Amino acid sequence: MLPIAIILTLFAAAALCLIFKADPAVKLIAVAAHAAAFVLSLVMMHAAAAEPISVILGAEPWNFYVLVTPLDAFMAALFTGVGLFIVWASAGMIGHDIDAPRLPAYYALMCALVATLCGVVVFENFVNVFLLVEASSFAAAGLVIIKNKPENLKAGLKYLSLSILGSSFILMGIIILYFITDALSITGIYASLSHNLAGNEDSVRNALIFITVGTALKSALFPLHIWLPDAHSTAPAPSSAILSGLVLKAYIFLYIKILHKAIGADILLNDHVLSTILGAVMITGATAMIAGSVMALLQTDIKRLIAYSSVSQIGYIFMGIGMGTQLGLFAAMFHILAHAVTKPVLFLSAGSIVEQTHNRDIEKMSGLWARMRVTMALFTTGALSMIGIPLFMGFNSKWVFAAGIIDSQHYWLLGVLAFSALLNGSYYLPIVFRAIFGKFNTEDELADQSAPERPLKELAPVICLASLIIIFALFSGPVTSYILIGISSIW
Amino acid sequence: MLPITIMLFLLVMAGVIASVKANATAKMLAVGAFAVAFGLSAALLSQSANETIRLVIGAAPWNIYVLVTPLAAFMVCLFVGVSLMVVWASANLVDYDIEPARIPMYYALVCVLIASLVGVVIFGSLFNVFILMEVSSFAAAGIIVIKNRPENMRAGLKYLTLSILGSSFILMGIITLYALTGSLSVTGIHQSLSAGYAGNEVAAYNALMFITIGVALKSGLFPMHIAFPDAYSIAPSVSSALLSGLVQKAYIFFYIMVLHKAFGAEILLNDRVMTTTLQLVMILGAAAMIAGSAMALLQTDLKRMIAYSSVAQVGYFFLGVGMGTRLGLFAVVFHFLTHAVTKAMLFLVAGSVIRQTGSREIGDMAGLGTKMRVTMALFTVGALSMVGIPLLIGFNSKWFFAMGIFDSSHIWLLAVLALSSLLNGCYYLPVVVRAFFGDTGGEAVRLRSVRECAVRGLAPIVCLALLVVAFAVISGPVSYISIGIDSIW
Amino acid sequence: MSFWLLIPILLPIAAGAALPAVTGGKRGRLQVYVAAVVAANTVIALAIANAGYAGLRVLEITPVINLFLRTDDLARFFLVLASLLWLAVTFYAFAYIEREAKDAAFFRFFLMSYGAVAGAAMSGNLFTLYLFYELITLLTYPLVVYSGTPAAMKAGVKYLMYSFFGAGLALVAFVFVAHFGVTTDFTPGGVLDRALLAGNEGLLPFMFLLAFLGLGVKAYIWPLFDWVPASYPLAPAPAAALFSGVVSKVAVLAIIRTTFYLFGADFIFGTWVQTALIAITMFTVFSGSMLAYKEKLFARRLAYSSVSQLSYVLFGIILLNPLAFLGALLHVVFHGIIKTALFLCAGAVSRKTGKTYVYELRGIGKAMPITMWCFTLAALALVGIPPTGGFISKWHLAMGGITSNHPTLGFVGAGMLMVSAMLTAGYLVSIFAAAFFPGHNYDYKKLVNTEPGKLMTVPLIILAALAILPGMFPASLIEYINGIANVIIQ
Repeated sequence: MLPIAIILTLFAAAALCLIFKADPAVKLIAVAAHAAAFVLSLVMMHAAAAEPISVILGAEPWNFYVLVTPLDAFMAALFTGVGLFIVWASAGMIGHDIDAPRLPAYYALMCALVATLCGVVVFENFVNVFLLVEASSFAAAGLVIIKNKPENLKAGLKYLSLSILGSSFILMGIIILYFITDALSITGIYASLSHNLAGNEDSVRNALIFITVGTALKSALFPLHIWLPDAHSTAPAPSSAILSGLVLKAYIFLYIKILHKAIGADILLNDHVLSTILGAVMITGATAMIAGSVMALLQTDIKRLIAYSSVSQIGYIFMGIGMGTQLGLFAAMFHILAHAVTKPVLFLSAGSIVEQTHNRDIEKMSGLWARMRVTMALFTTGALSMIGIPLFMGFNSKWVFAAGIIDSQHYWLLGVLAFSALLNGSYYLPIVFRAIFGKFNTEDELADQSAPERPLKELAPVICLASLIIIFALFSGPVTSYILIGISSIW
Repeated sequence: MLPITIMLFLLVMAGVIASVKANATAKMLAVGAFAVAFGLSAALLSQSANETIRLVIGAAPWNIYVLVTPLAAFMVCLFVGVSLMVVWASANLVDYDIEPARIPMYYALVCVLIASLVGVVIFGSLFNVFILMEVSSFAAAGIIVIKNRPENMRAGLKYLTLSILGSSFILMGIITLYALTGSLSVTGIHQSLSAGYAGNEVAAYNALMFITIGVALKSGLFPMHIAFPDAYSIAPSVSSALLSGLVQKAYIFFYIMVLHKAFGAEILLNDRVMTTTLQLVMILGAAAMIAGSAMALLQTDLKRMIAYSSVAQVGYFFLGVGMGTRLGLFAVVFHFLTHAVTKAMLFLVAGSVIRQTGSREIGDMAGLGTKMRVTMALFTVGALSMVGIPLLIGFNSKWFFAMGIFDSSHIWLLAVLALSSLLNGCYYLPVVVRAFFGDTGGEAVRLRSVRECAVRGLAPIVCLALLVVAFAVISGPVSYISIGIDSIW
Repeated sequence: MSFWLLIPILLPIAAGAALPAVTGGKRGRLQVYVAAVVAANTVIALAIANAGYAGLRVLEITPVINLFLRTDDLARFFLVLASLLWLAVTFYAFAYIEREAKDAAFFRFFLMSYGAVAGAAMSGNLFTLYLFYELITLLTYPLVVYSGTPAAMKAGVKYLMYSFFGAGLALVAFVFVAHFGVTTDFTPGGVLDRALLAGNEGLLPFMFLLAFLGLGVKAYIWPLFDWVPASYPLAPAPAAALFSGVVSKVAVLAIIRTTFYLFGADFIFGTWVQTALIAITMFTVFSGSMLAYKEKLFARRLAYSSVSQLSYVLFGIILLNPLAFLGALLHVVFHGIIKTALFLCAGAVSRKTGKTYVYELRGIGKAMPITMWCFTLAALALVGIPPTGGFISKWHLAMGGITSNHPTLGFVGAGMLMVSAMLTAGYLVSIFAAAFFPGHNYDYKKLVNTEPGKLMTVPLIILAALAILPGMFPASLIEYINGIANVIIQ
């Protein structure tokens, strides 16, 4: 019952937020719920490693069906854990972005979003999953719109409509699979496909194409990323953090499950059309790595820059998936973790800068180091990790991607990987260097605000996340082995 | 423990210097730190002449593994020795370039930089080396941007981003080797490769290719030099001396170690694809020798000219490495010495000239020989060494390269070598000529207020100039480098 | 260890370096100082020549890169020639550099160049020769740009670049020798080892060509003599005289060392490169004379004349037979003396009258009789009128050509020498003829005696005498040169 407990805790917290409405109470409820959910997820991780946890209510195919493999538990822990820090950070930061009356709604949406994300990963029945995917889309859009400015409304609606379009594509794929297999659960589909494939190859291929396009839309794979920069850059900083760090990953993880649990590696890699689709995903991912970074290079708005950086990072993950090897998948999973930890650090520290200096233009951030030492140190940590400097988690990611590439023998991708590190460096480092070595612009109107550092209390959650970047880099052993167990359980 | 001690000592001193407030104390501490480190390096040099020093902490492959061949000890000595001179000279130059508040930070960065360069050459685990290469990139970028002007920022970032690209390529190569051999130490990789890698040739080729491209990027091999002239010319002169004189060499040394310790000559030279790669490196080196000099000819800014000259000199290194012969390698290592001493000296002289006259234009140097006699005489020594006049170290380099070329039977390279030294003459000598023999005419008024540098500023440069002569006429370096080459071949 | 061999090299260099400090800008003191140093050094050089063979090796970095000085017959020959000419030019220079403010700078490098030339003459291996060859380039450069005018600076850069280019070519060949030879010490008959050379024989003639042309830059060989007409007219006359009289002869020495002591005549004899170089030197002889004939600027006419005359010498060397070699070395002596004298005369004229073009020299013989008489004698010697020195050397060169292994080319060469002698007569005789016989319309009333002082005329008279006298009594000189030739040419 653990997975259900996690989801219900969070949903209950969402409801409580809407009931209590008082400012400190909602914060406490949200943080406590996330903390509880996180603890439960850790317990679940432990339990799932021993044997998969399953909860079934009702008869196939129209039933509630929860099945938690180690990988699912890992994702749930990731969502609740990072969610915990982001919600904690919101406590200090969100006041600036959102009117007081909307605060309860904000926290409720946060809790609901994390609940739905956990649901997406733990449910086994596609109907359940699909409902939660839709719910998460609405919750995520709500977090964009909640700032109540015209551009937020626009960005939120754009996000929502494209997200729903993506969901529809996924739905088409699911329906096709249902028609072939008469099953709606992932295990059921797999069981049926393995003896029932002959004659249905075209349908399976169509289903995969629909699901791939849908996932690409929902998780902003270049060139279907168009909604992402607007949504992520206009949303309040904690919202951006959760959207970029977590929400995208849920859909990608669903895609991984469909590929390797529903269809299965033996079918996927032995059918030349399916493997071609996978190859196309890999190449698109590689393109996204470069294209996202190139677009990020052109930005002067710090939040847009970080948003475009996400486009590039999503490319890494799809590249790993598209390799169609265990090492590739491992790299993708590891990067999901790395990016989920790193990107919130960047968004939260950037949000902090924007809020304190009332400036989003990176050209005007000279000399900030002197004023906002801790915030800039956090940003620098995130940036160095993104570039892939050793001792930061991004480096481990880069390493495992490279190992995956070598294993799959697509050596040219090593060049892409190296080049994308250059691009990451060329948009993150100027910000850092300007802040450290540049002169504070005293003639600017923001000088007289004297841009004080935020209180450490408010930065504490971000500091925790940033230390995770380094901790996971130095002690990647347990995480690595857990992910490997997870992958072998679904391969 | 000696090699690690040198590195850690410099890192600790960096911390100490960074925390000092008084600039004079910071300077003294820096000079003292390098003097002590040089003493330790000299001890290391004499110790490693007889045996290769090994130190392993932790279990392979993820361990700390120090491997100091005589060649590596030579490089350590070179790095620490030249930086001692440069830091000593900086006492006079650094105030001109850097605002007072940043001077302790500057010296701390220099200590970190040299410590990381020492690390790059002493470690035998490619992973250790890689980490220190990254550190060195950042420290190097730091001493470029510290001048705190927009163009420094631009140049430093350009340098850093390309350097990171280079690191990434090198990393890809290292990971490929790791995937191929399961080892990260050069000796482990060599053992595994020697046992045969049939079926994995493509991986080996890719590893070599990625590392080659990475090193080429990091050390500014033409046509990947684009970040370097800006960086060298815009950085404070003291930084230019370190960057051009030392930093590139660490990366090229790393390349030599990968080629000859990790792969090993018997693998490298018996594989058609690998020898082709090496030849390509050689040809690019030759192209760099000509192109760098040709671009230097077009410069009117003194430091830019010297910077482009470095592009040409990097070509020499790759030419020698690419020949794939012992003599070629010998020439390269000797040229490390030559170029480190000469280029450091030229940049320091250029810095002094700019400080005293306030102008970087070569055209403004007419008649300067009458006012800054010693400084310009030092420049002349450096210039003549670059041109390759006997009894100056540059000639020995040129000679060793020529011998290497005959040995490798790529005779056409002789033409490149000859043309390149002629071109060196074409851009260095006019500066000397103009300074000493030029018609000062209208310049007399402007020059009236120019003074010679203070003696304390000139002393270290004079020492470097003496080294330019001394290393040309004593046989110590030659025999030591021969021992060093034997140890890795 | 014969450390005294270092004295004639280090003394002038040290004295030159210390010159501004010692003389303190006082003109009288400067002249005494320079005269004393040059005289002392000449005496030492003569003493070393008289002492016979000696050798000294210092600064041994590698078996190839070390400093090796020695005084074999050839070295002593060049040492004596260079020293005597230097001494003569020194006194003349005192008078010539009279009015210049920068005389300290001139004499400083004048002294230092002397040291470098002495070093080149005594060099005993390839590295030492190359070292002093480069040093000569660097130390004579300030003499070329002495006037400091933009034109002189431009000429100076041209001089430097041609010299470095040539040295670079030669260096390539030197490395070849070092790589395929058993030693790089000069050894009669050459140092190349056929066993080491196996497989690279095809490279040898090409490398020799590089060395010959590269070193030939300072001996004005076609196609690398373009810097000569640019720089000579702008250099002070004593400098031009030394360039033509001494520095070019050092280049000849370097070529002899390379040909007979490094590559070895046997390796060159009968190869395509010998044929090619015979043709090139013949062409240079002819084109130099033609250019001189057409030239109107006095100093430049003499410069072109040197282009032609130096290739006589090179022609004699590359024929690779004893007779031609004798002619070549004799011509080294006579041309050294004669051309020094001619340049000094031209310098005296331009210094005293400001006249630099040959058509301005009408009647100058009446105003400067001693100078022009010396000019006339030297000119006749250069044309090769018996019994002057020029006749002896050209005779042997022609005989050498006719008896060579290339009879056809040899004959053509001998003929070319005759044609060139005619042209020489054409461009020199016209000058002194007009100088002494200005014609009826010459206005004798305007005549002012512009004869220079004794500091100029005495060296001129001595040089003119030397141009004539050894031609009458050449026996001991011929014997000495034959002694060298017999060792190196079998």
